[in-house]
Amino acid sequence: MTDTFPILVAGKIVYENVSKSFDGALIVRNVSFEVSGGEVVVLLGPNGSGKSTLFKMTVGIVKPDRGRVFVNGVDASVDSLEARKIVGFMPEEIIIYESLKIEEYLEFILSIYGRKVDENTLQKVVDLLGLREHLDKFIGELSHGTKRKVLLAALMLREPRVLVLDEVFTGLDPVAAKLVKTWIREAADSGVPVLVSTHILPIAEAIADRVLIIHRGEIVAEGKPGELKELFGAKELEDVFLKIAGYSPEYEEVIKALYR
Amino acid sequence: MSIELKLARILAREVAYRSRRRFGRRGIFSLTIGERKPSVFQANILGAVLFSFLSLMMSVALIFAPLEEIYPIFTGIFSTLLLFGLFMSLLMSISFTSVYVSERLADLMILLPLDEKTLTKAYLLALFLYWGGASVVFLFIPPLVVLLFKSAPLILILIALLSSLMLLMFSYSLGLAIGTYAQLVRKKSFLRALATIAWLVVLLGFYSAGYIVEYLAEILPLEYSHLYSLIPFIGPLFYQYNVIGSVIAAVATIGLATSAYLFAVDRLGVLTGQSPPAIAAPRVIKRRPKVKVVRTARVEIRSSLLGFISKDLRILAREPRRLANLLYFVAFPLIILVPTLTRVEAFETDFGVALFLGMCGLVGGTIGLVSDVMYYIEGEGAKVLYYLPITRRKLALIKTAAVAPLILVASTLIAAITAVVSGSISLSALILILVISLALSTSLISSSVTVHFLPEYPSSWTEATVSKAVQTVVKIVLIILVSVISFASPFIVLATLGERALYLAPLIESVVLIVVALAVFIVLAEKKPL
Repeated sequence: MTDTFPILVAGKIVYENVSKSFDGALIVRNVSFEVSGGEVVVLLGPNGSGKSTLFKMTVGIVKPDRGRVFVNGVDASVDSLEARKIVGFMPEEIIIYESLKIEEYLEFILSIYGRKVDENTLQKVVDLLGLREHLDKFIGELSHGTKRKVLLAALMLREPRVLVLDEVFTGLDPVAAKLVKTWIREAADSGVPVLVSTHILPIAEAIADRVLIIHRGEIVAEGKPGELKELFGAKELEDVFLKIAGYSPEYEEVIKALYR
Repeated sequence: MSIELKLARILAREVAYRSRRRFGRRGIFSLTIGERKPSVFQANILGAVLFSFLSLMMSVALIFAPLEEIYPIFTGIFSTLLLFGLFMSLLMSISFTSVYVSERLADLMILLPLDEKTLTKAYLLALFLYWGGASVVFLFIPPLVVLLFKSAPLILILIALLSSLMLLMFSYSLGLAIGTYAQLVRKKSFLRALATIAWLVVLLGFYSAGYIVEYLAEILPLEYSHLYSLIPFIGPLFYQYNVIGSVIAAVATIGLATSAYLFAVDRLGVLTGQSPPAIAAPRVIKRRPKVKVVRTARVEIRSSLLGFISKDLRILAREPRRLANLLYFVAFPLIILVPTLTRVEAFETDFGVALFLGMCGLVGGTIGLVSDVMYYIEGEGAKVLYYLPITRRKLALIKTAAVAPLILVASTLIAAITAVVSGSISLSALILILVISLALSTSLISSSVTVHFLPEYPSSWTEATVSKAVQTVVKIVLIILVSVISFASPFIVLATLGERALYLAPLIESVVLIVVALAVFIVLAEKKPL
């Protein structure tokens, strides 16, 4: 796949004793971890556990109350402009210009980053993500998954030195999901630190070099998927996650009772 | 409360919320749409009071006129009110329906376990009761009440009543039907151009009604009353001048109202989710093409400034309402300036030239205020910018640069007319410099203030993003500043340095305002990211 996707440059993400609260509620509690160049780290956690807050800190959109976040040695809350140049960020929400067409959006993003793209790579990315048949449509007319593919195309063509991908697999079809997995692996193999969040646990297991589980703003478990499964005596990563998230068999009784 | 009324209230609130999110506005005259529980009274009271007041003011002449003179006065007043009613009801129904359709609210309606009749009723109730549609009726009540008190001929009252009912049926039906094509407008450039012209007419009608009424009164003398009787909706009122003409107009009125009604009925399916919205014209596919045409993707990478401006202009060209708003900002000062400009005597005295220079400066400064529109076109897409490496300072510059082509066109137009009328190329060149520099300066000042007040956290940008108070204060201060500089400079130069130095005034004005603009830019447009 090295022919297909751009070669990326090495870097590192460092969270150093980071805490953050909103309206008095502590969302992130003293979190510290690193993502080294060449490593894919998957952050797992229930909804509202603080994943997106941590991710947004890498581009300085959210500033920690305590602690620091570095991307390639740049303190993101001090120099968020530089951090935004370094990080290829995919927000969980689809944020895009719906009245532009795909090429126009790519043109805008790549112009902002001053990123030249060769004709061959552009055509390959467009084809791989299945965007060619949508070229004449406005982005607003595309499905949720296709919009995400447009965001992915922009990221792939940008060749960022750090990747932070929040719920990147949401809405993607299996083909696109497979491509993104390959792209993530390829990026990591090129020395790029990749931080990903997903609720699709088989994908997490497949791509992760290391898994971090965050619960109520704290990192409660960390390790390779195999190590975590062994530690929790679980067959699947899903079982590890459910144990940590406090899933109870009684919940199933409540759900089953709904149709009785 | 019936299910239709409950649904109508929810729909009106949802349309108000989506409208606010896109355009920063609520219903046109509603006070509390979008709040927790808007009532019919709250949604219509402001419109009802305004329309009644306007109508009452126009009807004062009727109150004091003797009975035998009432007829010509009433036909004039009621015709104007009918025209205004047509305009307002079209505006209300198109704005409501277009937001409803483009936000795909019909997709929510179809999920409800309700029949089409209930959904249609709920939609119409939302438009009339909770969007302020009912308030338009108050335009027609005062003159009709006056006629009743004056014991005017019953036939006149009946004709007026029927004409207003037919007009409301026509305009609401037509507005509703047109609004259902909102999605098609985005795709078809011809329709976008039409929509832009329509919005421009709306803006001119809304904010320049005084000029238009004055103009109409001038060009439409009463001697042509027998011809007015042929105009649909208005014509039947003129039956005393031409009975046959009024009958023809009455038939045309019924025909138009019925056609509009049928057109609306045909389009109702779009509103209740029963038929797909218009996206492309339906066509029959006779055979599949044998060869699939594969289009090559083309991406032209420019500098970040050009890339950004190109994106802005594309979005602007696809937003008829915003484009019309921007064109109006440029057209309105020109409308005021051109009558002065085309009078040769304006250039015959030094005083006239000084006054003209002052006016041009003011027009240039006013045109520059359009840069705000370039922020609002970002809409939901503004959130993208928060993830990009762009500083507030650069954004202020980009948005000023984005309106520069428009400023250039307007200033060239003024300079060209000046050259033709005055015969002076040097004056024309100075006017060009003056208008461009003042417009760019006020644009940069306005832009710097806007970026200073943009939210810190990813948000969509609409007309409501920067508080109305800030926007109003900035505009007033800038207009006062530009007026003082523009008018004081030529007269001070004339008084102190004499007529030969008069041509220095535009250069002095330009330098002063550029310095002010740069100072504001440096202080307010910070070098920090969004």
